[in-house]
Amino acid sequence: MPSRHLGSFSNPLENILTDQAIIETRNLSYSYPGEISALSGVDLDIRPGEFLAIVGSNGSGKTTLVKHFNGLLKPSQGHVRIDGLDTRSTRVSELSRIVGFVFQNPDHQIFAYSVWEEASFGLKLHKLSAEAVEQQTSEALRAVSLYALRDRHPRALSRGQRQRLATASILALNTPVLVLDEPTTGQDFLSRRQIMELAVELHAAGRTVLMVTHDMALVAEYATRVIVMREGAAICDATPKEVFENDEVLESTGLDLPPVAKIARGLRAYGISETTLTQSELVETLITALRH
Amino acid sequence: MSALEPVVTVEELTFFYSGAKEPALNNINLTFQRGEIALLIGATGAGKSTLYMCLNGLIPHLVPGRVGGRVLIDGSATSDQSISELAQKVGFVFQSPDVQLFSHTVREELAFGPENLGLPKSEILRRIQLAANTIGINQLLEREPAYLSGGQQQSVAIGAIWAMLPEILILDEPTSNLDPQSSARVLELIRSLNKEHGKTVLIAEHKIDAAAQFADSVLVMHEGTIAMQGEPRHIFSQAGELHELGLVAPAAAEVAYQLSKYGYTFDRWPLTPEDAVQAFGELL
Repeated sequence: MPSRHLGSFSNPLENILTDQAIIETRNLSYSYPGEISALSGVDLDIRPGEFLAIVGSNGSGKTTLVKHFNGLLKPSQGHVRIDGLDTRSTRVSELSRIVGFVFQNPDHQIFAYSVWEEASFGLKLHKLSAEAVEQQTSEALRAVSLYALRDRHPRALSRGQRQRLATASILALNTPVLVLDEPTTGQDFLSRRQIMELAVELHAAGRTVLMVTHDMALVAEYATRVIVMREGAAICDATPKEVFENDEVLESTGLDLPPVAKIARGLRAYGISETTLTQSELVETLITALRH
Repeated sequence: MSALEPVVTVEELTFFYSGAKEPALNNINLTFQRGEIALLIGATGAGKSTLYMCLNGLIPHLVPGRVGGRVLIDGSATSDQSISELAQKVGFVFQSPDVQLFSHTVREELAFGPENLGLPKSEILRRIQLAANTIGINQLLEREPAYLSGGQQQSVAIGAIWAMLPEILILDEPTSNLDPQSSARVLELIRSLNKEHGKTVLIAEHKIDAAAQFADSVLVMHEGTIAMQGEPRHIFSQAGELHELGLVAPAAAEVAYQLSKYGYTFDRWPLTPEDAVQAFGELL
């Protein structure tokens, strides 16, 4: 995806050029009304510029955790601070300027009558000038290749296109943090690649990207840090390579190694010691070994 | 697969949606053998959904448009059979189970299809029990589908179709919303319905790493046509062609494809990580 489309997104960090956590949770616990605990004692520091994956089986607390980052949920105990603001005493509208949240199912998010209206809705709420709304909406729609379809009704889009529209409407807000909940579910290979290339570009331009996902190939390929959730607790905080080498964590959470890491593990018997994370890494490792 | 016996035959099938200038399906010829698992892959918009609708009779019976050619299910044309006759032969499981499930209990969900076939009460009760036993959801019968996990919901959705006793099951990305463990369980269930009950299965998946290994055949759709078809090892050894269609092979086959560019060859093209360890181990 051409980077010229990301012009005004290039410096979202101008106000937070510190090493201080942009998201901080302390002893975060949460129980849904009438239910047992969904999160217990989560301590996390997420710094600007991280590309973080949050993984774990269904019901492990991933989505409950990230919903605390834009104030959709407030802690039952403990604290969540977003760019220093305690989420308990900060309006959701304020937090939504910092953390943009792209939902898994675009249809839970999309409601407007045209692509343009949908993508610009949040900006209008932020009371920006008409000119800024125009510019940020155009750039967001171009970034997801939907600008040409700006007058369409969202219902006339394919599921993959609606997912990209949901992403655009959050991109337009130009938030320093982006949360992507299962960004590639139900997407074919090309859309998956397009979504992830966009995430990589936004990350390179200085955004903090958090993705919640079951797709370990995605984690292996893109994340710089992984938080593994189990029964409401963050049980592991490490690099993808460290997680995929940690048998105890893998077994206790039922996480599946990405196929490439599985192959590399099987090849240990043949003298390959590297835990490779991507296909090209594995090919390179094999070619090097074969030539010796 | 036992003796070859075509259960679905598609002959020169072309379909234009009402008002469309381009065909959604363009001269498709296909055969599914009884008891086969066929994996259908293709980019979004390749025509997969339109093909399903031709197989379960929504086309030509309900969806407006222009049809050429014909589809035979068990030897008779879909155009000569009613939707409810076809519903007993071809079961369709949606991608998101929550689209399909609407009852207050799993029991009602399983009863819905047989009730609509106008079956006597005793037969409806038998079908509910049969589906619950086969799918392994007996313990969920009184639960409300909305409160089940994603994997359980998908099992209930398959059970509701199973209660109609179709010969052919079509599953549209049945694991796309599930975590790896639930995905593995649903795929295992599908495989057992095929192996133990001889049902013919057509499954569409974007996550091909898991599905590739148990398919008997692979169909690749592209712009309304069947671009490639054959055995999984054959299809997935052609990663270059798949890339041109906007598709990929399973990771093991992709890595083998990259190695083949360096002159390495494989007698048996790897599809799974286990295959790959063996094939690459032999090279080392």
